[in-house]
Amino acid sequence: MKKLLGMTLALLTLFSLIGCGLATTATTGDGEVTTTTDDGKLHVVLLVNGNLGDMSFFDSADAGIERLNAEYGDVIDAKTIEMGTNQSGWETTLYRVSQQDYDLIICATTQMRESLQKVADRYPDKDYVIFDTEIKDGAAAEYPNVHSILFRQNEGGFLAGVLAAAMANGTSGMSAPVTASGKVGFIGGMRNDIIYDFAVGYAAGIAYENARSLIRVSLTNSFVGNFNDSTQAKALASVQYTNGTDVIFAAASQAGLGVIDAAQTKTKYVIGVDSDQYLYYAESNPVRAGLIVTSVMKKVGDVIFDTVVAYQAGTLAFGALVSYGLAEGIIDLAVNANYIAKVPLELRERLETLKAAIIAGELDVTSRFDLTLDEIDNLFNDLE
Amino acid sequence: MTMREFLQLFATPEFYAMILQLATPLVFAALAALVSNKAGVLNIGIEGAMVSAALAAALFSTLTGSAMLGVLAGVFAGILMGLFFAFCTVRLRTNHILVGIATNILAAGLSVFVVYAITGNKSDYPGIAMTPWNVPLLKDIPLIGEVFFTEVNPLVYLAIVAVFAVRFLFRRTVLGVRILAVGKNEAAAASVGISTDRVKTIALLIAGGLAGFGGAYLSLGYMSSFNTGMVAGRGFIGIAAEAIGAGNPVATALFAVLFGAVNAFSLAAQTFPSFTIPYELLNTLPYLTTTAGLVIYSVIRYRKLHPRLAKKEIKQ
Repeated sequence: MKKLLGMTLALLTLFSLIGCGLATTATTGDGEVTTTTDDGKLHVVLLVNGNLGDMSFFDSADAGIERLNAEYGDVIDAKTIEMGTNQSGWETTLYRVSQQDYDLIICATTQMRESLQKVADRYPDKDYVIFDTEIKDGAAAEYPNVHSILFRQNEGGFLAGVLAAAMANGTSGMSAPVTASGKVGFIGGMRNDIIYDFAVGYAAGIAYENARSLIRVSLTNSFVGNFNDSTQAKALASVQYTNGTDVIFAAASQAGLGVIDAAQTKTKYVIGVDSDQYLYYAESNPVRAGLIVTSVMKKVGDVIFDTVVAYQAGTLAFGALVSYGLAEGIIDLAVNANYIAKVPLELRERLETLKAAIIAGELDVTSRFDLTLDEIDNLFNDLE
Repeated sequence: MTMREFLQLFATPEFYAMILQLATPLVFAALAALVSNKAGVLNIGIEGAMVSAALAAALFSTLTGSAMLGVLAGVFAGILMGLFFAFCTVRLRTNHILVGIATNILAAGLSVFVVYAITGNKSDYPGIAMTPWNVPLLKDIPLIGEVFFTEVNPLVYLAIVAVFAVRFLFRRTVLGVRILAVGKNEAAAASVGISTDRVKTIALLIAGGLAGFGGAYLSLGYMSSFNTGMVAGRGFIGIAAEAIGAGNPVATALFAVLFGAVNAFSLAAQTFPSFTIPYELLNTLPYLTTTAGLVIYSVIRYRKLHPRLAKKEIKQ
């Protein structure tokens, strides 16, 4: 009995250690290890406010970090710290990492913005990068040690909108399961700036297509309320597909997998987000992959990679805001075997022309950041 | 779309089919809570048991190529979590709530770890979905046939069977009566020679198995893969349904279905532009219903137990 109890306790301790390690990988132990010796390398750390495994945003950023180690391992030592979902620990981690001898500290999203504003002021000789938000709206210059990165995801959303609308108004020339029902859908995770930016671009694309077509396409917006409840997302998508929606653009991170699941159940098309989601399923589930007509890619990892390389070369501008979109090749529609097989050449060429026009500045895509919330509501209401 | 179209929603079989689909995991969770509660254990580890079951089901379905074996593995995982819970609470006499919290955190962390160790990504693992059933003849009945007998997952039927099985357990079996006795008064039960530890453990294993069906339904019935966030508090909603159902399996299941219905409504309402309530508010509906239900239930019970007291208070 004593023995059994001892063993169980030991097992419990082990499990709880594993549990903690997963929830907040390396917040405590790891951070200090790399800082002891100065090996002449550039030390870079990516702070993930959440956990890896979203199949999109953070995983992509982490891939950029891994690529840095693989290609610049002799001069750059880069690592990723997962801060877990407990927000109270994020700022503390940011402080602690700033006290260690990292040269460049990278973090992301509006949720880290306020913390970074404080920390960046407190440690003026440290360098920081924040992506997917500006350190302070319209005031990147106030923080001379922070480099802000924004993505113009609305441009990718626009192309997805044109594609979706063309599928629903019958001009795409695509065969079943496209029924030319005149209905398309959008499912977002939460109503935040970035998801709205995707949605606004998507709506702008549909409006653009509506203006040149006789058949008006309507848009239904739904939001899951979080980024992980795939079951809820599947139910939302099922409702939309049952109502006749031809294609749904899902910008909901992990929850979006539920939308793709629903697409398979109902045999309808879906547009993925962030990474090329067709490739993810191409081998394991070809039927499902075949329904992912394309994905609006947001190559966060490439941006992280390029940013750190620029920093290493001493050419990264601090106190500045940089944005990446179609022109930089960071936002793009995924052109894969499935896209080429499913979308007729004529429509693909038209999308390429539109893309070129956006890059050339001839076509200005509405962004969430140009509009007030009321204006966004109006934009959506007009398409209903 | 107009309000009329919105009302038409309630006439579509899809809407009721969705209620059934969304309610099934809640029914299993609620029954699991009920069985543990009857044995006098407040088991908040149901959520964790569902997470492990959902993962085990997906894992073993792809390993063996059979959805059925996957479901069995899920149930087994649920029972294992029940065993862990029983070992801590019954054998080691640890606080139920603490063990429940530990179980949930353990399952959340361990599932990410296992998925990462196997696939290298930290979020999802594909499973082999169960084939839905079409019941011949019955499926041709208008509305009812479309809701209950067309493309319905076998686990939905099992949930209905489980409700009556649990009812039978407590009404007609020795084990059930023993569980009730242990739950009502442990010392009295022990004095007549019932091994209370064993009875409690068995009850927790049954609860684990029921939670296991709920988890397996999520990953192989409703979806066809495991995602780390997919259980999303459904175990806790089950516990709430049990609390309102006041220990009656049928009432408990009906409240679970009510939550499923409110959830289905909040989802469907989003797709109707004439319905301008923000989705954030709609998403709180299932939880508001839970709170409202609990309040109504305790007011009624209070009045029943203390009719005079309640009247006096009103007078004052």
